[in-house]
Amino acid sequence: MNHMINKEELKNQIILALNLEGMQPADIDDAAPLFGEGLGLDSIDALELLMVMDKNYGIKFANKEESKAVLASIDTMAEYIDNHRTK
Amino acid sequence: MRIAVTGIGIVSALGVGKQANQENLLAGNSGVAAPQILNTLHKEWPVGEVKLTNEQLRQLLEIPSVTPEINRNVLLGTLAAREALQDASLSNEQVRQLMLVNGTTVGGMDLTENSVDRWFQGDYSDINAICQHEAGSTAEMISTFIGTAQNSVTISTACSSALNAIIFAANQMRQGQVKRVLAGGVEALTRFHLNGFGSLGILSEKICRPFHEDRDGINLGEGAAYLLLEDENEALNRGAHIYGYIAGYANRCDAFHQTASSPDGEGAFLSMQDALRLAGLQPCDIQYINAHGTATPNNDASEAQAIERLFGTPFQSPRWQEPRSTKNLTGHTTSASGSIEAVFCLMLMHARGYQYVLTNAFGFGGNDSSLVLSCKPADLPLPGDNMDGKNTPNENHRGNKAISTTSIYSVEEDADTKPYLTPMQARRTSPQMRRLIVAAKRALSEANIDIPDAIIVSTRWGGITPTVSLLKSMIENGEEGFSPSLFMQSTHNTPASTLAIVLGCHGYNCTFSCGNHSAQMAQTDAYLQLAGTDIKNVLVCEYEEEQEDWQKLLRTTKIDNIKTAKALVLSCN
Repeated sequence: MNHMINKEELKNQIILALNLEGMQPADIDDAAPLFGEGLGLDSIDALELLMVMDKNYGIKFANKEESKAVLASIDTMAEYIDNHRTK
Repeated sequence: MRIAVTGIGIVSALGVGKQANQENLLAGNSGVAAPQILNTLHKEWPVGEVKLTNEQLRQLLEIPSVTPEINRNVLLGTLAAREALQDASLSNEQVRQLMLVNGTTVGGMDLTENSVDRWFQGDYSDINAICQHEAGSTAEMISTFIGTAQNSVTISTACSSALNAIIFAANQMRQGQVKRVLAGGVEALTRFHLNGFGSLGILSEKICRPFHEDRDGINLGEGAAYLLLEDENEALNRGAHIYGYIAGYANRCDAFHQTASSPDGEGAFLSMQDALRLAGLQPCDIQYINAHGTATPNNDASEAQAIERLFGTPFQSPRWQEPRSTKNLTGHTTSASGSIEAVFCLMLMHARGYQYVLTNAFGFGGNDSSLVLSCKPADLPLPGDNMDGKNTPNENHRGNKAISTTSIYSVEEDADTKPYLTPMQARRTSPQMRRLIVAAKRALSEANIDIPDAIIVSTRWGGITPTVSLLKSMIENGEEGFSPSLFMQSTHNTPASTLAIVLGCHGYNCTFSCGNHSAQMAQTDAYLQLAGTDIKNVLVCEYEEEQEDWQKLLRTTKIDNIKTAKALVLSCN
């Protein structure tokens, strides 16, 4: 199994992919929801995050519901990446 | 006054010409199938293609094959425009005097996406094709082919472009500026926008099912349609056949999200409500609604909600007859859908004996337009008439408004834009877009206005920076890995819709992309809006980005491109 993912690195990838200029990794709470009430991301951001998962970790989702649960927070994303990354 | 439709021309997946389109429309035959003409790897996404190659289109148009390559948008547009003029039986001189108002977004993208890798490597031998990329060049070329001598106008508000072209033309006629206008739109399928819509995750792998419980997305389509709009007096004088009348129209903005519609469909509600208001009609007068109905879960839910709010009955109830949306027949013809479906409405109106029909076309950024067509003569109020009680003209106010420029702002290169936008708001804006927002906020503040009544933007190239990024992504990765954020920023009306969302402006929202007279047309429209409606002020902006690779290409042509982010406020008493 690959080494555990560094959450700060993941947050930096998200900040870059979503063009969140001026935001620091520390501004994103590990456990808080990324969508809706938390950070406030929307469905287009979700598509960009799926591209991050594919490009950086070789993870593709066949089913929309599953990806929704994985993209819920930094914690859920990190856990899924640790268990499913292919690169 | 009365605006009659005296000529129609159409080409879509249902066929070439009004006869083929009418037969297939009334029979409910779908022209949607796996891509045959478009050179794409994505055979899983059915599309509504016009089943003719560019070479076959040239033969139909009798354009000699020795002339330079012509993009598909121009070929499709010329085919439909020629039919409309022949249908209207105009003389050569009448055609020469005619203005074309065109709605389009892709311009010559089909040529661009095939050649851009060479261009970016420094091969500038395709100057002809580079010039055709510009959305406004499509209308200029169509004008030349059909023989009009007037400057054309191009409106680019994504999927509502063609309906907004009809609205702008009708406004010009209502105010006595012109007696005849050829208005409509065209959009050819390209890999660029097929992959763009694909990246948004909204393309269906089946024939789409508008308003169906199990709907799962759009089929893209292509085509063109134009309507010859004519002052009724002129039409009667020359004994023209009248298909119907423009009874009312409106454009309003959802101001919610760049690609998603609001849950309550506020923009759609307002555009339908205000179209009925201009027509002097009640909701019960409308016998048929041709919905935008793209078959995405989001659009159809939002639009049905807006219809139920305004008309008081669910859109799925028997009050509303089938088909409700024709996107499953033609695919979503994006910038052309407004005029293609206006033609379908005229056909259905005659086949089924409707008097009043309403049709919707909604674009990115919640650019929502509605048009009411009537089979019997319908009066449109003249500027200054009481909008709620038409036919009671108030001579004291007609065309008598004093219009003044309250403030103008350009924003310097190093301006600090951070205080004006949160990182979340700023994440889908280029630095230049942020400068435009600052310019707009400063101009509005100077004019003591929080939310303007309307927003009108001129831009030749729109989001050229995200467009070039996507083109480079196509060069590197082919049809893989298109960024949805970049695609939704690549349309010409991104600045206007971003301003509407940031400012919370639900009013009229339009974008002009017609070469070096774009800014002049935006101002003309602002004056039409102020003189012809009850609004008090308009935010008028000029927007141009500077993209390094694109600048290099433009240097080989004679086209100027000057970086601009300018805002001014026009107000009337």
